[in-house]
Amino acid sequence: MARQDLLQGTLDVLVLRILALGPNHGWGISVRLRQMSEGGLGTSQGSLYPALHRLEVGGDVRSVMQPSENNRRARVYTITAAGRRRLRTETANWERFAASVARVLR
Amino acid sequence: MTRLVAWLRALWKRREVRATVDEEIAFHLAMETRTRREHGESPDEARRQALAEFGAPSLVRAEILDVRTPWLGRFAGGALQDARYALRSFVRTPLAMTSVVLVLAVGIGLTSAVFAAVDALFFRGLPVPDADRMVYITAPGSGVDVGALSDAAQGAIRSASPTSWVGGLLSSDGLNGDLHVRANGEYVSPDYFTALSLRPTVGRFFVSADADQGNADVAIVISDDLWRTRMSSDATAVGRAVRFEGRRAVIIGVAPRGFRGVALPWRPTEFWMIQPRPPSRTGFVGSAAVARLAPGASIEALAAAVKARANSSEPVSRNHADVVVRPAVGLLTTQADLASLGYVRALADAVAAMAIVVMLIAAANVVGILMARGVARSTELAVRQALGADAPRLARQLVTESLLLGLGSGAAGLFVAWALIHLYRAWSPFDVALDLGINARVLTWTLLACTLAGLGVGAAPLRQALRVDVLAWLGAPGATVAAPQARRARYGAVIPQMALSVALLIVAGAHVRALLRVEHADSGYDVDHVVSIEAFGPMRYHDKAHQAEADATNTQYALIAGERLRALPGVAGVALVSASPDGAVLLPRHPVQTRDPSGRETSVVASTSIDAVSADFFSVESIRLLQGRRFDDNHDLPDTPPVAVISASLAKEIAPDGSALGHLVGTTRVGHGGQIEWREVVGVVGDIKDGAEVVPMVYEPITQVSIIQVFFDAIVRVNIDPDAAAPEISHTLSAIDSRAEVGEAVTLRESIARAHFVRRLALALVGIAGLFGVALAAIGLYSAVSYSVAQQARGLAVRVTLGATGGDLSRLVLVDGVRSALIALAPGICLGLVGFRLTAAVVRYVTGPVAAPDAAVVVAVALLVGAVSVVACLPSARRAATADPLAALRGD
Repeated sequence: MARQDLLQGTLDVLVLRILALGPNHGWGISVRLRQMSEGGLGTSQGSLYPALHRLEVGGDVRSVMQPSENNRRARVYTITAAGRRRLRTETANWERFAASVARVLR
Repeated sequence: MTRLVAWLRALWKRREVRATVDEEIAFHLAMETRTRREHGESPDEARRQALAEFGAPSLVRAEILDVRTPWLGRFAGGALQDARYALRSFVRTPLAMTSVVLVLAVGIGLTSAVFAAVDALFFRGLPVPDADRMVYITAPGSGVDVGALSDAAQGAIRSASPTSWVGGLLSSDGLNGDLHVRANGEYVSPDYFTALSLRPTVGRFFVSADADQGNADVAIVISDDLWRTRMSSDATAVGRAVRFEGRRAVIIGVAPRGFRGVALPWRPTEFWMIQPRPPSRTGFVGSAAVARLAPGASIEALAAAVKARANSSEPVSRNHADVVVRPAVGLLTTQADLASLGYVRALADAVAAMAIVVMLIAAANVVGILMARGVARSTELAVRQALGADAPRLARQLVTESLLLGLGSGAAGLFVAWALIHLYRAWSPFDVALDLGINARVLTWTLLACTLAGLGVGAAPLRQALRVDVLAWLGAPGATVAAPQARRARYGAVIPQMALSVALLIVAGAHVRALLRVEHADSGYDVDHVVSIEAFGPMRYHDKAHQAEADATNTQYALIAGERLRALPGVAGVALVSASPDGAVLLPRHPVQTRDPSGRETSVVASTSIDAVSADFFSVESIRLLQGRRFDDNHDLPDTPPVAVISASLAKEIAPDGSALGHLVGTTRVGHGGQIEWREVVGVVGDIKDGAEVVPMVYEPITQVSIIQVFFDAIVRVNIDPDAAAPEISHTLSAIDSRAEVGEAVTLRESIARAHFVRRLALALVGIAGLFGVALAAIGLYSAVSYSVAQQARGLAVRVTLGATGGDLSRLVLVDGVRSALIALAPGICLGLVGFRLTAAVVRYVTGPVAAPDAAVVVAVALLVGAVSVVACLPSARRAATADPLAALRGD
């Protein structure tokens, strides 16, 4: 249970990080995620979407359906001010956490 | 309402979200597939890989929907899913579920019908415009001489309308022979319909000129129901002449549909007449007023005004200080009046108790079925738990199932209630024809009952389901982990059912036996070919100055009545009495003091009925003269020595060893000013009985008793069909003097039947409930045994391999089942005895004392239950005997 929460929270921060670069749709985010982690975070692409919707319900991102390259409508997500604040806090938390873990492991 | 809107919005939003989520997923898959194709994968491979990378779209969608929709919508969506699942699971066990719904439906239907009666009695407002402005104005009082509200008090209220109940025979006069109906009516003031703001369907309502005593014809308004059923909605009915209790009446209008008067709800009104002066006493239960509050007026202000006027006026209501003004809801009668209507209470109590018991039996039965089904579903539930459904999830599922069952049963229960109400309407005599109906309140009640029933019967199976041991089930499929639990559950449910049915049967059986004894006993007098009719003399005691004249006129009227009746064709004899013998059961009993011929006080006989009768009475009623003489109308007069004829049982008590002739009997009763009146016994006649009970009787010559100066009953022996003779008898008495009030002529047999109706009805209901209970218990026992046999299949098969024969197995199963039925006998019998004691107290109201249940009833019930349980177990016993042991041992 605890492990799942950690992963979930982590995925949220990663998504916010990518959206901080600019608005994007779910597939775009998943591509970016793969590129930026150099394939290291190969979770199933599907799990990205519940995270996105959770972020929207929480007010960290907002979305709008708009036309895209292949004539289909895509949901495009944009980070909100609250999302940026959360990204800063969570990044700081993560760095502290990672540093602590690293210190122990050294 | 807002909750409903939120619920619907959540549902709608969920639908919308689902559509865009599907679009979003499709976009992702399309983009992923395209990218893969651009990297050289084949279309199929690209699509397959895209899906593999993505995971199951349906799961993703479900997870997003969970995130997106608010809890209410989630709950609603989940509930719909649960409901679908529940319906599918019902379909898998159609027989069990149908029986659950039917069984619960009967219980719910009964309670709903009972509630409809309670509603009609206590909660219903008037079916008139602006009903919330209507008030009832009543004062304690009942009986012949007490108008609950005096004329003066009534005059204090503008547009107030005194009403009193009058039951009688409406018959057609001349041309149209289609109206001949016994109906309830109300005597009202001319402004009655104005106060109620009603408009006639046809014709007109009363105007003040209709109240004029000098009118040749009485104006009458009939109910829409009567107009439709008896006059085929004929508009020319207005102006038609009918007869009511011998008086000519002209129909002036038809009341609006659905309006059944304001008097007693169990006496729907079919016609209205202007209240004559002085008030009629036939069936009089005290008059009261219904009034419409003026705009801006309050009930409190009206009450103060009425009391002020009532106190300052003469004459006033005897209890004018207690005038009550209250909203026009429920009964237009006072508590005192209600208390005197014990039979309504008796019926209501019997029906309510029966409904509750049947509901309990039904619930126990259903719990049994559901528990067995729950055990059968243990595997399914265990698998779902293993797949990740947590306890709340399963609980929600099971609660949804219970609620659905409850609602389904509620719908079927409404039908049962509707059918019961129609049965009651069709079979009840006119004077207890409670106007029942299914309205919003009854529907609400039914909804509540079925929800509670659903949750109630679901509770035990739910507890059982949540205790399913997943590992045991998954580790040992087909194992018997649940068998002891099932056994306990099933028999645990069967025993209370059996016990309650036994109790109901004992109560019903004892009452039926008591009633049969009453109805088949030789009453000591002849009930066939005898018609009795009640009449009030032409003059009343309103004017003390004319009392002597009134006494003379009324006595004269009675004597002429006797002569005219004797002269009718087909009449073999006529007697005048103060009360018909069928009334003996309801007559008050009095203590009688006695003296021997020397004047020495001998004894006091506690409970004796007194009847004033004319000389012909004993011959008309075929009561044998045993000693001495009968009365002589020409010689036993007010100025001759007072005499009495007594019944054989009383004679034996007065003079155990010798003749009672010459002894004196002294009676005290109302109207004698508390003085003992001594009469010499001149004759001894045969006993009459109230059921099995001999009623000691003192007969007085009616010619020596002032009662004839007020009213009398005429008892007419006819040698033609009594029903055919009745109208002519009624007509004859009316024709002598139009001022006389003549009741309805009924055969003695019918009036006895009427006196017994409420008890018969109550008995029929309790009896049906008892049989129904036994049938339910038998079903319960059958399913318990049959389930237990299925559970024990392996055990039984092992016994066969060890040498048991089919007969042994049958016996085993039979003993097992019948034992549980027999266990229930003892508590059932105890409950039955308690139940009888309780019901006897109320039934006593109706027909006097009832005997305790005897051994015969208990033995009969025990035998019946034993036989039923054997029959219920037989199919399972046979199945056990003929089952293939090898199949069972293979573990299927």
